[in-house]
Amino acid sequence: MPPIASPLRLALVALIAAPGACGGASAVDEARDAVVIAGPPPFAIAPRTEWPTEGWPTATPESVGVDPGALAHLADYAFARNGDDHDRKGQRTNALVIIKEGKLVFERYARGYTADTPLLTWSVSKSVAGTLVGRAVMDGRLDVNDPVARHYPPADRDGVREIRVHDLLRMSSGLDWNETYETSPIFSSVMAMLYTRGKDDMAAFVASHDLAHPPGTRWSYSSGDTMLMMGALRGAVGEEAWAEYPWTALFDKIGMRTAVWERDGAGTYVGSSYLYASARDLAKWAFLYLNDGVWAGERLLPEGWVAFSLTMAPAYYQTELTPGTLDDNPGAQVYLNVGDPSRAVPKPWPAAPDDLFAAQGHWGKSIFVIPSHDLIVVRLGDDRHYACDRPDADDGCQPDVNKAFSKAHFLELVMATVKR
Amino acid sequence: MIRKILKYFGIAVGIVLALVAVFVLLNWSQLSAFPRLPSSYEAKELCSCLFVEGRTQEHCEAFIRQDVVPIDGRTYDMEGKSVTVRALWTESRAHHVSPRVGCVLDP
Repeated sequence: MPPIASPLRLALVALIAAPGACGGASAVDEARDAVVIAGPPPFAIAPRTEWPTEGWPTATPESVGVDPGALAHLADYAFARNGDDHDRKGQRTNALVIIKEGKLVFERYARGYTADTPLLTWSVSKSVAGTLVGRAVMDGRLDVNDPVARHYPPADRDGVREIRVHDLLRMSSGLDWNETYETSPIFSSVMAMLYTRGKDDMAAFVASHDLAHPPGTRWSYSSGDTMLMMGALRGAVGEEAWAEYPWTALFDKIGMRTAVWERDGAGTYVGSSYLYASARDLAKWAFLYLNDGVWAGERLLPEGWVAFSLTMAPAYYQTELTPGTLDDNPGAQVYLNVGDPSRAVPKPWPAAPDDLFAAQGHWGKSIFVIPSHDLIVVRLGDDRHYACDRPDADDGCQPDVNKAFSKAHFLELVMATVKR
Repeated sequence: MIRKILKYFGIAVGIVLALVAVFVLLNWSQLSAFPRLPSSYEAKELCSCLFVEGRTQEHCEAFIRQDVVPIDGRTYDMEGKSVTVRALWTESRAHHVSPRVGCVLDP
């Protein structure tokens, strides 16, 4: 950009950033219906007497209605080894932690990992990044209806300035983005963001993309949307608070002491991919959501935040699904298990109830939460081959669930532990 | 006859080369960035595997192994907590910043 454009750009930014001072909202504000964060929790909240801030209370499986035999069966499946580390086949579970009714009933680690290891979570990070945005909303630092450009000036470009914070939370920015990993490394936007063209300033890299669709009209899984969201969050929080923000806003509150969150070259936390934490600590994130954002008597997330997070992205219903996206039920940086009956799309994990929600990451990282059973299952693996969770799947997946990790089968075994 | 074949062959080769050139020009930003990807990926993920997850060098090399692009060399500075990887005529380095924020790739 030629230097002469800078003052003009700054003036535009100032105009968008301070509509109140100018005596009216900008045109961008009125274009679309506002998202309202309010209302009761989406499921019944169990009363709690203990909080796991300093560590999880433990219980025997039997005492909280978990079948020990089914639990052993589940563990056998998760920790079965069908190959050595060189061929990277089989289940390759690193950590499995099960919390029932707020108590640790099972944990096991393998492949050298332990209860205290901060484990790579890949895109599970996104769900926790969504929580950080919720914390900032709680503190009044930003509103999900704000244009992203209000908090992140590089997004003040043609088209891109129409993107709202909630579009990013729901991966509905409309940005022209290619989210492939190993299959198409040259043209993968996410690989470029993490490792080459975007690594020094990931949010700016995302903001430099043009729109492929009007914001809010298409759902498309995007690490870019999450990183642009982190850029907006950083702007909203301010530089002084930013350095410690994940800790002061969340980790210190709920006792996620093992958490490590890596940053890009510009110092923005890589919300899309680089949170590391122990399986026990990740279960605390799930517990916060199971309690509708309240922790030990303190409301950390706005009323209605959990319900908003667990509402399917509206753009999903206008988006043509492909075999690769048929099992994705996107909430706000969280995944659901409801399918789309209007299009005869079955729910991804038939054995698990409709109220299940999940945080999910590449290579077999999952946090499954089932409110109706007051159950949290954290399973972190390093799967390089996936079992075919759909009978019609045809993408090189392994048809035998005993030769590669199957989330659908795993959840079948999980449900068997809590059958009443 | 042979001349005619050669002529058409030459035209075909010309068209293919022109198409390749157009493809390269249209996708230059992606293509030119690609050689950095293998070394950059390995440096960052090795650094985090070693200094965030605290795993062994053997475990970490098995974790980041990719069987597509040959790696020319990896240099570990276990004291200074950094990893340098060379591949496709480029070199990438990642270093451990602090216990809270883990590793980052050098600019």
